[in-house]
Amino acid sequence: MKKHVVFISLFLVLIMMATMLGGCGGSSKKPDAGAKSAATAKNPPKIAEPTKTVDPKANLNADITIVQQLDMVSFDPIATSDLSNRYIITNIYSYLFAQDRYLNSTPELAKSYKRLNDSTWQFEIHKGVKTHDGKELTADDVVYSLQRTQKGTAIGALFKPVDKISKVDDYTIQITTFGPYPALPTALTHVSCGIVPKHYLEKAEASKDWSNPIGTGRYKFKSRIIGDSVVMERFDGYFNKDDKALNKSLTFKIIPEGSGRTIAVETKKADLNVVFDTVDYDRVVGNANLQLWQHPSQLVWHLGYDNTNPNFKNKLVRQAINFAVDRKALMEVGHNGHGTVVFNNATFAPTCLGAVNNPGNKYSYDPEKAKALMKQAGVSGFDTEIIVFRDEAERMAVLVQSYLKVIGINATVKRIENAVFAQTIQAHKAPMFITSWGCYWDPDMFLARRFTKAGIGGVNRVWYQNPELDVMIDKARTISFDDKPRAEVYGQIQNFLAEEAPEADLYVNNMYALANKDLKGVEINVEMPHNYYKLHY
Amino acid sequence: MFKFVVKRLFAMIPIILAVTFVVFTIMYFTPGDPTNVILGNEWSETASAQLKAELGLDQSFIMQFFHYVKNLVQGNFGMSYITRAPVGDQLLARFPNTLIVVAGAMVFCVGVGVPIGIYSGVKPYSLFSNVTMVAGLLGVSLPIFWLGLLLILLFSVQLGWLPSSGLDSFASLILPSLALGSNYMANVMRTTRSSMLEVIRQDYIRTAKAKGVNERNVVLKHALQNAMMPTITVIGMNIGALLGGVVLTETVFSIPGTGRLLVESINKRDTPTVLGCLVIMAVCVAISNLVVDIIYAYIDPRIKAQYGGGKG
Repeated sequence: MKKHVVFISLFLVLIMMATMLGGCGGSSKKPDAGAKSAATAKNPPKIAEPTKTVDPKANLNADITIVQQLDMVSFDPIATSDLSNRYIITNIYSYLFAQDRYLNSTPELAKSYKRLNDSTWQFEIHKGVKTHDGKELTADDVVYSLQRTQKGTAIGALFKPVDKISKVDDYTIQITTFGPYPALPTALTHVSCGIVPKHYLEKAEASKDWSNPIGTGRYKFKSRIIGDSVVMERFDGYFNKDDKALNKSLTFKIIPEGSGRTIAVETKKADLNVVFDTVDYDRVVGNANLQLWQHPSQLVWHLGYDNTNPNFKNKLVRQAINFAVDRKALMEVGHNGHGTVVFNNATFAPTCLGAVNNPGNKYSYDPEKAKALMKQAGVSGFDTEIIVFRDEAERMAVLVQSYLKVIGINATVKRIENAVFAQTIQAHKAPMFITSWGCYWDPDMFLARRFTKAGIGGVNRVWYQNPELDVMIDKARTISFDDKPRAEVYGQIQNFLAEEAPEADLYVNNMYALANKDLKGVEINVEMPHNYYKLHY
Repeated sequence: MFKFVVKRLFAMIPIILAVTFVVFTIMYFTPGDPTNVILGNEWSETASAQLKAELGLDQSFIMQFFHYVKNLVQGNFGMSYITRAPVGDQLLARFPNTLIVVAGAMVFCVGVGVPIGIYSGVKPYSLFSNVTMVAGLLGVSLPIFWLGLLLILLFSVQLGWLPSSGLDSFASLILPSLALGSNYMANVMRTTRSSMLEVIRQDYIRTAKAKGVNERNVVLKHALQNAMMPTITVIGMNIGALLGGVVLTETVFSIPGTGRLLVESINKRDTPTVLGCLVIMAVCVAISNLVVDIIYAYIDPRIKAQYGGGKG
């Protein structure tokens, strides 16, 4: 008996030790843990602003290691629009226009551009742009690349308004569109518009071998170990001498596990973690050797519902749902409270052109008003399902379930896989769902697909269409090439959609990047950390 | 014996074909579409149809399976739907890493489990025996994922002795081997202990002791050979289990191996890559079973005689 007591004690001691070690992780999944600790943190997150000046004494020859969650897919720019791919290959290839932090366009290869008429654009590229194998880039390369992009699938609807891409002379190209398309420069920032020199592209297309890419970007490809790492080194022949890479090399390491990426930066195996898991938030804000950077994203988390479903056909029910949910609490549950609440129904992030956070101040968290609207609609309640495929969404769905219960809607939560989400939508098997949508700065690049017939069966997941809205979207595109009049129309569109309530937008989460405290030049756009070429010590 | 080995190698062909057919069928009928993953927010019916035609996904089940098997027979694992690169290249890059981790775990499993099992079998009521059995129970009970994270926190973050990720040195192999191996080591340890306990009570052991053979020789020469049969069976079975468990180990320790590739490919509905990974794993399990059978023959002359190669 005595012996058994000894063994049981031993066993318990071991378990306790293991649990204490686990506690060393310091992670907390309590919804408000991050928000509370931010106030008392040793080094709270800083806002990542664009790098304006570089210290003359800075080390511009550092080898920078970046950790990310997923491996890249391919160096073929038209293979996928996956983010883990995009932010690697954009270092190798140049674009006519690069993206700024709001995903708006900023000229890169394009030296100048002008509109010859409403549907014809002319772009002049820089002279003397060298490829990584020493040849000069000409309009032939640009035209060949973009024509291939046009034929590909990755760019989807963004190139649908594009009619012809042609060469004018060795350094000038022309793009004609089917009618006015003010968002063309922004469309040209899409990953699949990367310019690949024609001589390499022809070879790669024939052999289907993209393992040694050649571009004109700031970095030359050096090596890749599939599933492990990608290494690239500074290209000293980059055409824009004033905006060259501020480090000697970039190594992208793939670490799928969130805490593993944090630990890599903590143990100085990596300089920057570009996919930070907020589970480690408390631990890193308490560590003086680390610096967490943040920036609001343009990822709009929203509660969608099938507008063709009999339960959601009545707009009063849809409005009731918008009053029934507490967006702040959902943001606490979804992203530990890190983000900005939005009362919008058009998937506009607050930083998009013409965005209005709460059009007409229509919505707030008001369960009584929600109940009254349900009564006015003559709907006592119904049973439905909330489809989710991500952890954050699943956590939110449980809370939404309780909010809906208050107004008589009995919802069950169903988790599915990412790969079947689109099919579930197409089969009208997602009466309600929670997911996010990444906005471009220019709403023309998503509105027409999100809420018109063009997106039905695709990304118009709420199955909403309205001829009145179609006219307004068309007006916003064609009214002017200037932002101001377009922004006004987008304001009207948001007011219109607030009344229609085709979905309930909840919040925009913050983006994070975890870095070694001495690392400089960390920049984050509304999608992910970016501009890795600016990283230096 | 040679005939037996050749016969077993040929028997692997229907096994591989059966694995291919079953996995292909499951993947074909599993809901989900790789074009959703590839196209993301740019997904549309037209783009999806165009992509499906490019990938050959618009063909019938029979045609797709026929093309796959035709290529497989020629040693071609096909092209990944997601990366559009040959699956064979990915396997070539990743499978050696999986083998290294499994081998490391196996060395830990056998190198620690067998000696402890022998000692516990010989001294069944000692404190050491009881402590190791409790530790073994703990090893079986702790999920690989959790144990891996604990090991990283202790040895990489707190002590800074060992790397937390990758597989670029011998030091980086230690933690993954421990995490993966500890789960299976307990099995090996307990099996060795119980069979040792059984053998050590046999008459011939008592006879050997009576004749004055020293304890060490009794255990290592007389008892161990017979006690090892069940242990070898467990080790052989563990190889299949290790290949399954390696998925979690590769994820926690960021090792670019086949297990991680398999899970990523299942999530992305990348059928050629899933098939490639599973065919390689099936071949591995079949070969390890064959090796176990050959070892049986060397340990037990009666089995060797059955294979037709021994003198009995």
